[in-house]
Amino acid sequence: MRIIPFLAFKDMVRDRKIVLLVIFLLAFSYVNLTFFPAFLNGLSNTFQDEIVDTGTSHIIITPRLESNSPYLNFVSSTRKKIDLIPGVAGSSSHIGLSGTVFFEGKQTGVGITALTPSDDSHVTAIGEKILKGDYLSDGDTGEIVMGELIAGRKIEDRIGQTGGFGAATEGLGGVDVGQKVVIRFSNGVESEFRVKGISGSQGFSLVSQTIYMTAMDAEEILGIDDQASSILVRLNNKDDAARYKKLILELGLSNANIQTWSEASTFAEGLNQTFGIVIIVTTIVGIVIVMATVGIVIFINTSRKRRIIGVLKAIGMQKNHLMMVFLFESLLFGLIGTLLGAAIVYSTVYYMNIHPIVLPIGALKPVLLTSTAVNAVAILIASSLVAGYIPSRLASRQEILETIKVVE
Amino acid sequence: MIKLKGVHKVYSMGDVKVHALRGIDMNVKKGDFVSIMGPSGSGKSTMLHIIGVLDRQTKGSVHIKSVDVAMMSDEDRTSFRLKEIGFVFQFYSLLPELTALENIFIPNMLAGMNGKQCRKNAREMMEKLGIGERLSNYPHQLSGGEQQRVSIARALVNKPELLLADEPTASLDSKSAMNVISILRKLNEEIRQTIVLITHEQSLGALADRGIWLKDGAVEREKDF
Ligand SMILES: Nc1ncnc2c1ncn2[C@@H]1O[C@H](COP(=O)(O)OP(=O)(O)O)[C@@H](O)[C@H]1O
Ligand SMILES: [Mg+2]
Repeated sequence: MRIIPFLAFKDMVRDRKIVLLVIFLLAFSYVNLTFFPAFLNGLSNTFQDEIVDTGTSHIIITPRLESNSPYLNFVSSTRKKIDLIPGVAGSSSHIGLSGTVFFEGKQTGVGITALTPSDDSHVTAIGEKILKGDYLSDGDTGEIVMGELIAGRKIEDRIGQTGGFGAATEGLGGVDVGQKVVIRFSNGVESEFRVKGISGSQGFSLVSQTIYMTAMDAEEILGIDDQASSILVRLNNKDDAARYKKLILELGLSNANIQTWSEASTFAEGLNQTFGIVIIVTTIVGIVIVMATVGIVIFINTSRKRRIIGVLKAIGMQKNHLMMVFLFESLLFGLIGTLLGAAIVYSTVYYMNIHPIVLPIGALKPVLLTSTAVNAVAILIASSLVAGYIPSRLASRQEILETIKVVE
Repeated sequence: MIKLKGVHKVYSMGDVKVHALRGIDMNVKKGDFVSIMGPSGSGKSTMLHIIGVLDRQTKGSVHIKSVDVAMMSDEDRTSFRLKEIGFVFQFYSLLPELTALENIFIPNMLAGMNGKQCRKNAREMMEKLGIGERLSNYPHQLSGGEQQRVSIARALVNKPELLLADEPTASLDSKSAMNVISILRKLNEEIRQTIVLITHEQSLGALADRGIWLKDGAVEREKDF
C-alpha cells in the first residue's frame, strides 16, 4: 500500500517542527541508552587495567587450597615452560609475606610482596608507580619500597588541609626515602630495612598499601628456594586470557590453580554487576521517555486529525491502513531518532578515544559494544511502535459520522 | 441504482430516542440527478449517509446497485464506498498537507493505481472541472468554490456509479454556489453521472431532474423539474 508511506511522509513534513523535536528526543534517548554503558565500560576498563597492572597481570597461578602448601614448587622450570608459549610476553613469581613494621614508636601490620624486578618489569607496572626515591634492583638486599599509605604523612603536612583521612590512614606517620624501619615477619624473623622508594597510585591499587622487597631477601627470611606464592603471566593481548589459561592448564602443573585476571579479581566483577544495575535503570528511563514522547505526539496528532481521518474512511480507506499510517510515522520516528543518536554516540566515543578524559586512576576511554548499540536500536524502535500503536488504533476505530460532524 | 423501502432510522442517546427517518421509500435510477430539500433536521443528511453506506438503517431495506448494503461487513462497505460512491462534504474535507492534485488522486491510490497513472487521472479531472491551473496549490490557497471543485474531482476520480453531495454549497457565496451546481448538472448530462444532492436552496435544487422534499423524516412531496 503506497498510500501508507505517502500519507505518513506528507504528515511529517507538514509538522516538521514537532517531528524534529521528537526525533531529537529519541536521539537523546538513544544516547542515554548507549553512551552511559560505553562510559561505564571505559571506567570499568580503567579500573581493571589498574588491577591487572599492579595485582593479577593477565593470568595468575596460585597453589590449590587442597595442597595445604602456601607455595608453588619448581617455579623456575614452570616459568620456562610458560615463557615458551607463543603470545606470552613474560612471567614473574611473587612471594607473599606478612608482618609488622616498626618506625619511631609506631607500628602497623602489612602485606609484603617479594619479586625479582627484572622479571617483573615485563609482567606488572609496579616499578612505574614510584612516587619518591627509586625502585628495587635485582641485587638489592635489606631494601624495600613502601606503599605511601603505609609510610603515611607527617602531621605538619596536613596543617591547613581540611578533611584528612584520620588516624587510620596516617600509617607510620611519614616515613621518608633513606630512613630505616624494622619488620617483624610472621615467622618471627626480625630485620632492619632501608626504604629505597615510596610507591603509590591514585586508584584503589595495591601499590599504595604494600611493601615490596626482592625475592632474594624473602627466600632467605622464609628459608625457601624455587618456590613462590604466585606466578603472574603477561600476554600480548589481554582478551586472550581464557584461551591461554587452557594452554597453561595443558602443561599439567601440579597443585596449580590457574585464573584469568577477570576470575581473579572479584572487584572487577562486582564493579560490572553494579554498573549492570545502573544500566538497567537508565534503560528503563530511556524507554519511558521514548514511549511518552511518541505516544503523546501520535495521540495529539490523531486527535487534531479526527475529521480528516473520518473523511478518509468515508471515501474508502480501511481502518487498518489508517492505523498503519500512524504506526509508520512512529516507526520513522524510531528509525531516524536512532540513526541520529547513533551518529552522535559513535562520533563522541570516537572523539573521546582520541582525547580521553584523564581521571586520577588513569585515562578513561568509553567502549561502545556493538551489542549495546544494536539492542538500543531494537529497544527504541519497539518502544516507539508500542507507544504509537494505542493512539493509532483508537483513532482509526472512531465512528465515521462522529468525526465528520466535527467542524474545525 | 438506489432503492429504499420503508427505511427508518432511530438514534438513541441513552434514554432519548430520535426518530430521524420514518419510513422512506425512494428510487433513483442510473443517470438520475436528484435533489433532496427540506428544513434543517428533517433527516436529509441521515438519508444520504444511509445511501452512502456510511450508516445503517434501523428498519427497512436499502439496495445500492441491487446489493443489500446493510448485510455487508464493515470492511466490504469501505471498499464499496471506495469503488462505487463519491462523496462531496459540506465543508473542509481536503487534507491540508496535500496539494489539490494529491488530494484528488487519494482514491486512485487507495484503489492501488500506480503514481504516474494517479497523477494523469487527477490532472485530467482538474482540467475537466476548470481548475487545471491550481493543481499544485494547497487547500488553504484555494477559494471555497475551488476547494469544492477539488472535492468533486476527488469524488469522481474512481469513476463511481453514484455521486453524493451534502450541502456542498452551504459555505459558498451565491455565484460560486451556482458554479458548483452547474458543474454537477454538466457531469450529469455529459457522462450520465448519477447524483444525489442535498441543498436547502430551492433555486439550486431546481437544477436537478427531480426534487424530493423531506419533513420530519418522511417524504413530503416529489416533483420533476
Ligand atoms: N448521531 C446522531 N445522534 C442523535 N441524533 C442525531 C444524530 N444525527 C442526526 N440526529 C438527529 O436526527 C435528525 C435529523 O438530522 P439530519 O439528518 O442531520 O437532518 P438534516 O441534514 O436534514 O438537517 C435531527 O433531529 C438530528 O438532531
Ligand atoms: Mg444535514
